Amino acid sequence: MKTKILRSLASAIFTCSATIAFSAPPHWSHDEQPTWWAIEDTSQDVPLKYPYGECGIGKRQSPVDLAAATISNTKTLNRLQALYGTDTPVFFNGGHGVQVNTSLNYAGELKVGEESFPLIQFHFHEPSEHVVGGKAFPAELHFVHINDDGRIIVLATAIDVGDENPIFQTILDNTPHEAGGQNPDTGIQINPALLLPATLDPENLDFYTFAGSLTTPPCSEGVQWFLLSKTITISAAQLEQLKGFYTNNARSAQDLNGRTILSTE
Amino acid sequence: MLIKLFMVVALSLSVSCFAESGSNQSKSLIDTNQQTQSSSDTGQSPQSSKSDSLMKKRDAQSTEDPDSKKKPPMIQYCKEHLC
Repeated sequence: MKTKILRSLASAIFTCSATIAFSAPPHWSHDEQPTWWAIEDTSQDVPLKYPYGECGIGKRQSPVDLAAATISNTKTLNRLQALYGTDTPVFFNGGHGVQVNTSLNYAGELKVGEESFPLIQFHFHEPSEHVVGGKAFPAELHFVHINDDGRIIVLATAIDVGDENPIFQTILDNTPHEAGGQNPDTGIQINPALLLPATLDPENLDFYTFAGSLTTPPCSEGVQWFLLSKTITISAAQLEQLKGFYTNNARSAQDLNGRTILSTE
Repeated sequence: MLIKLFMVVALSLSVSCFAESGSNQSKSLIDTNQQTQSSSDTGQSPQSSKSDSLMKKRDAQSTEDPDSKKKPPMIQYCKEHLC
């Protein structure tokens, strides 16, 4: 009898482990982006069998080509403030890009009008995801903010090659090279505000804004994008170092499907 | 007595197993509430839906202990993935 019970217990543990293992999101890569939508989760039935379906059928996908859009600057837009302070973050290699996660009690936030959106993480793409007339910048930085309602706002800035960027160097030097690796105990303090274009006032940013999506699977829509009108720079050597982690980790521009881009400029 | 004890352990294991499985699934997609709250294609900042979200917040707070309020699952998801 005891053996029977122990056998049942072992079976329950195995079932539990298998369920957890199979419910992890399926693997994807930037090379296969035209068919992200078709990637199957073999542990599920239709429609959950295609967890990245929105990448193919979504009508408000990101990134976009700004040159292809109608840009309007006639509406009065809410003031945009990047109120970032110093943090002791976690340097993370998420398997698809160089990423920095803010600490649990970090108070840095993006304010849109009177609404606050805490900064959760920021990461880099090489080359840029948003393009102008099909032309990409060398890289792009995304600040990801999520509020208590679960609404996501991404603040993006294009990265050009020019002067060396000391904060960016700190990030490169502390990010693990192995996918999934993280460096949580460096004690290094950085201020994400120093990665914003120096020519912009962080408490009154100039921007382009539109409704879009995550640029990686599951490409979920409902993301509000704010693209800064100015670029930041990193050196050519730093760009090469970034490529040493990931290269071509950018999604191509998606159809606008009638979306208008609003601008403060 | 020993049998009962094993049954209780097995039962609690099954419950935690299904709970874990459910939370993993929720990571892969943004919930529909979140999407409907997002800004419209006018591209304007989300202030227009502020009153709706505040009302939902109040409703939630009235039935929940403030200390036990859960953070949106996308926060953890975006800490583990590029987003």
